[in-house]
Amino acid sequence: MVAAHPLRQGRRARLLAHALALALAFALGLAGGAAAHPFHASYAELSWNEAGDGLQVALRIIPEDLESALSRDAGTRVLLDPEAPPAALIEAYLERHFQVTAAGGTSGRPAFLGLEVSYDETWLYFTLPVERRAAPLTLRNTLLFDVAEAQSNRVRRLWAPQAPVLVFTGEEPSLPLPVNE
Amino acid sequence: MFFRVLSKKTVCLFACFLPLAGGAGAAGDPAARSGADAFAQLDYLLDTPTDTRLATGAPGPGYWQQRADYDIAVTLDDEEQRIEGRETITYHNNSPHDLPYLWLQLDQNRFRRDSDDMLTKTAPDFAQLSYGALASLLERRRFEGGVTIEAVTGADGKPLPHTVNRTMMRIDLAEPLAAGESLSFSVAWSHNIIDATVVSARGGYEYFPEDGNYLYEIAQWYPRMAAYTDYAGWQHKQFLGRGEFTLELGDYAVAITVPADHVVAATGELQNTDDVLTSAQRERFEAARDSDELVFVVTPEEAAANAREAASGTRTWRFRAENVRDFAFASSRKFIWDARRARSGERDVLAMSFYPNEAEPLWSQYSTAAIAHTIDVYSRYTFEYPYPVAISVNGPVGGMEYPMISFNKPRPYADGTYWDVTQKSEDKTWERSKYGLISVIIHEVGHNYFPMVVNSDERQWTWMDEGLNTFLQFLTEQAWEEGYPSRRGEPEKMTEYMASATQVPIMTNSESIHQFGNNAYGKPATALNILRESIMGRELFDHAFRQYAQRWRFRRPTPADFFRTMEDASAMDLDWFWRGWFYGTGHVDVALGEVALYRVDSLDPEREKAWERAQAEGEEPSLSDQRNAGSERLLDREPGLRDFYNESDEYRVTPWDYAQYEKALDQLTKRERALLDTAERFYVVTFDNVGGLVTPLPLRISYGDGAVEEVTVPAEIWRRNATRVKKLFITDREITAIEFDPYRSTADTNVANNAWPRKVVPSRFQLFKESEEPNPMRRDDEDAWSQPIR
Repeated sequence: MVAAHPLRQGRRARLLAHALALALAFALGLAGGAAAHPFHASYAELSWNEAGDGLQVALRIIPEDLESALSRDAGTRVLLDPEAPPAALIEAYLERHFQVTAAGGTSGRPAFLGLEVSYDETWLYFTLPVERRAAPLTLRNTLLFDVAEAQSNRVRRLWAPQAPVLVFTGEEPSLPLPVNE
Repeated sequence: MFFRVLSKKTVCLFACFLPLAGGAGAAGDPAARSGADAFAQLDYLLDTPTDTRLATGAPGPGYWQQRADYDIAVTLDDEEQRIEGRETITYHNNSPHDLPYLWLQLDQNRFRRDSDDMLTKTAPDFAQLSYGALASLLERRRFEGGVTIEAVTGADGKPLPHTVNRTMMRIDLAEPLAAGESLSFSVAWSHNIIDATVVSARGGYEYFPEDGNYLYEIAQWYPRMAAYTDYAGWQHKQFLGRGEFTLELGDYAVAITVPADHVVAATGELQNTDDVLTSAQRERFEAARDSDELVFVVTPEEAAANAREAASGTRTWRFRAENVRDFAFASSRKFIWDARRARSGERDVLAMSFYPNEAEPLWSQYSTAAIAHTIDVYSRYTFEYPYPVAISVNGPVGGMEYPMISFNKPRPYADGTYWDVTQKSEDKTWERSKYGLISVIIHEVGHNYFPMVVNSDERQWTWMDEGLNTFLQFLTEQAWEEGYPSRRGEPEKMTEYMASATQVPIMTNSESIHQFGNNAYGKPATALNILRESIMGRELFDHAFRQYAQRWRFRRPTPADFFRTMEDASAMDLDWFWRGWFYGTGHVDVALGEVALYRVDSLDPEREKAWERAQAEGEEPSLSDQRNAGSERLLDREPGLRDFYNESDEYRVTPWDYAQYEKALDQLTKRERALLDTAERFYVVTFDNVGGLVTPLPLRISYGDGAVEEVTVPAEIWRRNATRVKKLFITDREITAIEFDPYRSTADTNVANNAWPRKVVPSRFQLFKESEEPNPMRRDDEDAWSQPIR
């Protein structure tokens, strides 16, 4: 018996998972490319906690787009119900798509705090463990890039209110996150 | 504190205190940026006025536009998802030019594998490739897209030479088509229909595996005459997928042959109801014309029965449409069809919706009602809806607009719950689906006004229809119900986009826009809302906007025509506004800086020295002074060291002071002496323009007696210095607070520097963390709100 090459085995597993996920996406009706709206954008406000060891994030997002992403991840329809928010799914999604890196490594798992849902403005609140003194920092923000091709994500640093709002796109998913301005 | 007589003719003002410092921030050198730049006339940025387009923004006596009439017969192949058609186009050359050739658009060639759209796509980031994007890429690779031109023939039946250049086709004429002449020719073509559930498209099909049926939304489907204009010649920029189109107005006669059990919705009026409707359906159809209540022409039950089994054979639906710039249709055996009368001023319009049972219960509740509401509101701001019908169709495309018909995608789930959330009456979140549907229908039906009737060019300037339409969408949404949750329109919804690092001006060509929705939809809509509410006022704005709509109704405006008309009809020089908002990428961030108080020096030494004494005595002693108070000093022990200066009272009025006063009075006229008794306070407030975009200054001023006054300083205050201005307020009362933009009406991006004295503005995160209040859903339930909110 010949053992499969570990790398090939890993690739096969990933491909299979990808194929299954794709099939699921079709089954859920999520694969449609035609968007229901042209506003593929999120907006986050960042501030430091008092100890300077965590980012506090208020994130405005198009709710149906996030539901599409979470539904695909979960394999079932997920609703952003403020009374019973899918916290674990949201945290896992944020962990993959909203990361701060420093020379010493990547920020830890986000802690989801809650959400406010309405048609015009839906806000998520979470914290991200990262040391301010670990600067220089880089933020990688790929939120909803997996839902809409034209997605752009804007980030404002509340400690630098007059600095330009950072814009993350498919071409620039990572940008420096200055902390001393 | 300084006291200085400036000159004998100068009223002498003295700074009393400078209580606020800072706030200049990033404004830099105040003298570095001239207001002349911000207020420079647009001049070279606009087309030179001509006999065709006047300097007023109106069409001139020499205005002309082409016209194209179509007679089309098309067959929808429900087995192969394919279109086969033949058209006769009668092209009217109303231009003063002879045309050696004609250009037609072949938008379906965008779906060829070798199209510019495909070839210029950049590689996706596979680490973040969405499932939808992957599926779309694979479908585009599989799909046999593109138009097959079967024949191009002249009126004599002989072939006409033609050349296809990607999404454009040139027809060469044996003799130039002379100015004022018309020409008829025919084109036969075919193309496959794309799966619009997989590929983002403006038309296509949706397959329903549950019953094996298809739903078709057919758009940009026939060879269409490219626009030929006075300002750009042929509009034959290649179709890359984003910049939609502009076309010529004309009359259409279209015969659509579909499976016999299909129901067809189309641009125009149905001509042969006897052939395609049952007698019961015809009665309901006629009844709907005079009904303010919804009437089902095809009931949900009939649609469900129709969908169970496909009939054999075909049936031809015939439509006529007059003075439209395009033609689209939808077809399926799954369609429910409802209708009711809508009113546009004095006109009656038949509002209709077509949707499968999968769209219920949402669609029968809101779709046709939203159409009627849109026509009512838009007509009030523009002109009466000129067409006999207005249609909303549910299918795979959405939203997308065509004359008289629009495709709108929101739909509940298969289990009957709404689009993206559960349908529970006590669950506030279900409103999202409802408003999502209403908003998209308002938007797409609203496009009948811009650009279907006001025929602007979206392939060049997306904002001219999307921006104006999103603005009117906001007004229409707000007229639906109080507190309607509009996603765009309010200035504060656009602030983070406007402060973002990578922007392009609104005037950018459609294909080169970054952050498309915010640039072409949201920002111009916000700009117009600010123009209406904060700069022109509703009366002036509405009059000018209506003028623009009516001047260019069934005509072809450019941005200059819009900008000029808004000024022409209002007597307002808005060049600074267009320059900043439409040609620039600055944002509004005004910092309220130094506030200084001045008063008139009476020169009377008794009054002035008393005032100085009061000021000195009112000053808090320093810490050292406080701690040294009462301690014995050297002069206490050795009084001999004291002299005149230790004993004199610096605030005592001396004979010399009186003499100086008399001398000063002698040099003043009687009128100038009277001014010395002025009691008013002079506040000089500094405003720094941090963001760069000039703006009016709406201010709320609070006084010591509790009174509050609101005043708006026009944006022209920046005309000499666009970086920093100082504004004088004269009052007989003490000012205790000043706030810039209290109603968030300017899209100011940083509210932390908007108040004197400064106000702490908590972040949204802080507010969320500190909130102990139950959310609105919990407030009626004590058991719920007595629990902490996580």
